[in-house]
Amino acid sequence: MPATAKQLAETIATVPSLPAVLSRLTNAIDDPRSSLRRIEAIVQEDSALAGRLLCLANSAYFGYPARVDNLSRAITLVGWRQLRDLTIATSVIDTFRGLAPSQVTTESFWKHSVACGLVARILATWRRESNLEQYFVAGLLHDIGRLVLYVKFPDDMSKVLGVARSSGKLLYQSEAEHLGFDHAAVGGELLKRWNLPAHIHAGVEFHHAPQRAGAHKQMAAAVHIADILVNGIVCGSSGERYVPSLCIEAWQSLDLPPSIVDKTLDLLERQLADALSVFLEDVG
Amino acid sequence: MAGMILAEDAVCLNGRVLLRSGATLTEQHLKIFRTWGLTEADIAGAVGTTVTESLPDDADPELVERERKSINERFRHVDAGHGMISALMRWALAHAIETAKNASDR
Repeated sequence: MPATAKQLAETIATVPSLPAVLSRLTNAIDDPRSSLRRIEAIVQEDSALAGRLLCLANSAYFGYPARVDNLSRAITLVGWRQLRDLTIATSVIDTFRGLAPSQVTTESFWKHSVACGLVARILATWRRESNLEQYFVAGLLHDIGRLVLYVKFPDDMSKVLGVARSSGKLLYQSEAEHLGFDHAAVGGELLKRWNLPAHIHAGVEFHHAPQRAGAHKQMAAAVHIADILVNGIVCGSSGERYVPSLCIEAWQSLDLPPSIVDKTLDLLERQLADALSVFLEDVG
Repeated sequence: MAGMILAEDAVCLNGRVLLRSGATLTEQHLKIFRTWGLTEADIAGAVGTTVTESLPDDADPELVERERKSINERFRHVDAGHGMISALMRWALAHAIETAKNASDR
């Protein structure tokens, strides 16, 4: 049983790294001398990424009025930094999609993840945040640690699931009791190891304890609330049967009225099918 | 509903004022509000009144009871009295009933 932080770190060290296109793209975006043509060339090299980006630009996710039919236009519309964040999303999904845990179906896991990403992004829209795609990525990856735990420690996790079910406890609390840490810690560590932006890994690490996220409180709060909404309507599942407990402080920090719940979930319904097909189906 | 009086200016998400306080709402106003994505307004004599209603009235009471029970179980770790949570529970209930209805219609 992986009872210590050290073993946790060793576990994470065996997780594959992200595709090279991501680091090339990040370097190019951070380089002030980069041109649109250079960015386009990097995206073009990865045909799956290029295809996804075009699909996304034409989907309800962005809701642009006119058809976007070429890559450079898609990149311009989406924006460079947002492009990097979306590349993180597709890279992680491609790296992990092959994993098939026995405790939950892959379909259900990713549906929960994509829905949570969309809701975090919608909440950020209401708050007029500028880095919307970071919210999507943090929501999308919030339970990635659980996927790692399912695959690396199937027996322990089956036991944890059984205990949570029979005792009526929340799954992340059972994880902490039996493993010594929970999936949020695993996810946070993994994302740090991948050098993802601090905003994103903090959003993942503190999604069950947003009051501890310090400078990243808003992000953690958005993911926290998104997780509650998505569990509340049972849109896919990462194994949790209950709605996770609410941190009232996090809800207050978003400064949104309760009526936002209806609007957010209605929007989620409109965006979910498109987003699932763009991120999870093969595009040529 | 038409005939109500606005207590506060009706402002849509981009900050544009659609209607000043004191105006009496007409069906035409409500249509314009919806077009601009405005779903609620402050009405004289009420707080946070919702303009659009979503709960179906013709649902099978047995089904509603069953869904309500399963929702209560799912929400056992949160306070149903919290405004955001109760809004979520209402949406989940309405949605579950609609899904069940669509499934039986097929």
